[in-house]
Amino acid sequence: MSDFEPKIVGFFCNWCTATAADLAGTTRMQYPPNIRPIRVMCSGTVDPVYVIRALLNGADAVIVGGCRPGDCHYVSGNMKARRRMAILKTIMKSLGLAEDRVWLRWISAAEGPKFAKIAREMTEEIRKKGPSEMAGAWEA
Amino acid sequence: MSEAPVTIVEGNSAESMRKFLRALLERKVVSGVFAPCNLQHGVGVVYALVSDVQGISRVNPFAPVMPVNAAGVISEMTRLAPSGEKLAVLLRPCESRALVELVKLKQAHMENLLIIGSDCLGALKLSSLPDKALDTDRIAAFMKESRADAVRDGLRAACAICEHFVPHTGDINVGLFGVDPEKQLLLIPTSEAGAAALAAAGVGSPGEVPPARQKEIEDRRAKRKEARKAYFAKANEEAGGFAKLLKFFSKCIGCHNCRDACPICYCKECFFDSPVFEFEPHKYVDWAKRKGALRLPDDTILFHLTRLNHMVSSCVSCGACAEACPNGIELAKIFPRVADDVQAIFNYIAGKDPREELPLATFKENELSPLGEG
Repeated sequence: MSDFEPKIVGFFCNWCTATAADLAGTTRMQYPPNIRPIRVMCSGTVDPVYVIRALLNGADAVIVGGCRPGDCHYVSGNMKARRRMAILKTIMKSLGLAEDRVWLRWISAAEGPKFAKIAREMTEEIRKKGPSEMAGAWEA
Repeated sequence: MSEAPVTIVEGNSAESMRKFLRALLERKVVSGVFAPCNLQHGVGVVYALVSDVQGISRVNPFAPVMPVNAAGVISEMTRLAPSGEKLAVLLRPCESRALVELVKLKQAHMENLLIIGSDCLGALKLSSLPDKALDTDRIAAFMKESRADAVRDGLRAACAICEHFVPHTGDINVGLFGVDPEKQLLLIPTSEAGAAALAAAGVGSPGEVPPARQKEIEDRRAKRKEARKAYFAKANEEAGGFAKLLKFFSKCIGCHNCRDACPICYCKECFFDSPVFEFEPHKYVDWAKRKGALRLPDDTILFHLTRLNHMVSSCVSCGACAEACPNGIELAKIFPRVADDVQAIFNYIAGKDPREELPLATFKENELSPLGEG
């Protein structure tokens, strides 16, 4: 298990989490490189299909990062993202899939340290869980 | 609305229903009647819009089949604008619930429709119908069996576990519970328009809802709750967890009939038919290399999980998906179960209340913390 490196796909809002990730980098914070970031214009644009596709095609976990409540660049995209992700996680739970491999986090553009902390937390958490059974099933 | 009197029509329920519909047309209360009709050539029933008084003899209002969810058809008729003329539509509760959802999704208009919602005794699988016409005697026998929860063969799974067998909305509720439908039919007005239509039609005589009705409905609902729970527990054993889910969908051929038959899946161009899913050949080779092999057509599980995500907050558990599957995948083991769980987190029951907003069209500032952001 020790050589297992979790693959994590991150969908990060352009206006907050993606900038926080940049900030963490430019301020030379150390965090594990397991997250593959994908910049999106708003967490509200992340259709669950992309999350599921990532999980079925190799990702051990997915994180969606958006603006704190009230801070959405498009007023309420993050609130809609929260409902979408709640639906996705409820569906996964109902069907006995590992819903705890999907994370939604609010990380503002100024929160470089929070981004680094969550990257560390998530990597460790998923490392403990081990590889996802959904990740490599050819017959899915 | 104020308490309008209930109309009781004496005689066989189907005959009484036709009498009422005929009166609506004759007295020009409506210009057309949308209802299940007997085919001239073939068995079973199809929906038809009947404009001719003579044509009402074809209406077979309580035939225990549901070829499609009528909400999809009403959506087709009223997507662009409300009907210009008043139409009576006879719907099962799951159909009127789907219609309410489609109106919320801006895919149908209910204005100018007189919605006659019938108590529902369930439907048989189309494939279980023998090559004999659904005559009065057979329908009466089915109604009796279904009321006693004793239908042995062919009842659709979604119907066997349905808790919403009495309509939540509409203008007139056709009551089958609490009376002997061989002898009486209840027409209960549930809106001003419904009361006015009943008065204008002038059939039957005013009466009261028999006290036995409420008790029968409550008993049936309690039994159904148990049946639903037991069915879902069994379903969870069969399809709970990723490996079992793969097994459950192993017969899926990717025809997408479940989506096409679903009243809620209204998108003109489904995401899965869009250019997003057109890939260069090398992509397939890459995926095969990464996983060692690639099931084709691909995205079986992705399709079903995504469809769930897109429509399940409005799913009315009508079972049209299960009926449409050419390989008999028992989709009623997945969709109604997940729908109950998802709608519960929003305290929402699809199609119950036209004034409630769709879960995905609204939000609250503080909510869902255990499921959402943590």
